[in-house]
Amino acid sequence: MLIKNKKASDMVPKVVIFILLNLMFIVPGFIFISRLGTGDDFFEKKEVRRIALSIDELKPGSTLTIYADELFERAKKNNFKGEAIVVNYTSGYLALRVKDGAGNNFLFFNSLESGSIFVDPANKIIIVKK
Amino acid sequence: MLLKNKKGDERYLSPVNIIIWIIVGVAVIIGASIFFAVQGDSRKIEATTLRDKIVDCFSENFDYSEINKTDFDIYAKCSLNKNALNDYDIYYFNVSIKNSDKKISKSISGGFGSFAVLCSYQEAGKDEKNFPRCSKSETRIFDKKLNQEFELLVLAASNNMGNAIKE
Repeated sequence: MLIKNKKASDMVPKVVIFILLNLMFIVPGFIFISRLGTGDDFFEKKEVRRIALSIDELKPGSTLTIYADELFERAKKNNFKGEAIVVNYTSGYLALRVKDGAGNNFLFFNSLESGSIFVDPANKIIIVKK
Repeated sequence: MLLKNKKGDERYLSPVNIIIWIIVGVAVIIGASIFFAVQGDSRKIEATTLRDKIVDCFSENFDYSEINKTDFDIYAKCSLNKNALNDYDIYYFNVSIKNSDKKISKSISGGFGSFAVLCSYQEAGKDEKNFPRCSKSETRIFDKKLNQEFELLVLAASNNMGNAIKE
């Protein structure tokens, strides 16, 4: 009933504009949501927590190997030349960056001796000794 | 009533339609932001890990006389980072040891003391987004030297939202 008394030629531009406007609205929405979930910022936030929580669970006398392929791949892709992981053993501070910028940091409360965390970008692993 | 006297195809491009898009867009942005913020919230996991770490360390070869000493250092005993737990006001723990008379004979606390109150609020059903997440346990432990059973109550709390240190 919508197209009653309308010629096809009258309808086409408005329908096309309508579809284009819809796409202009929907496409940025999809890009926004997908970037939130897979972007570098969210990855840094998620990964620094994963590593810090793994460190917290470590028991004395044990060694933990954390596979961090995505971390080093993202840093490489972003051409990030700095240190992907920075640790301050005194304050229990762990900072992670895969691109230039502030990165994300998280505290761990497990007491570690200086040098307990060994970052191996070549093998894309992080070794933590307790 | 805004659509009165409009033909079908004209409705597509009406201001009402644009307002609806804006409302839906804002809702999607808010929803997605809340979803990903919750995904990154690990406070409850941290509180539970801290609690378990303390329970494990006390349960293993429990020696009340050692713990009851005035110079007992829980950070050294349980391998906890004193600076991380005390300097940033984002963690709290309390260990209470009850003897066979059900009386608290020893209590050890660390971190941000106000969290104890906020945890008790949560237990009473009053919760807010910025309150710490708490984890509590009661464990029976046995002291072989004294041949006596004790009750170990541990409360741990975390409000670590990340980026606690601004470089």
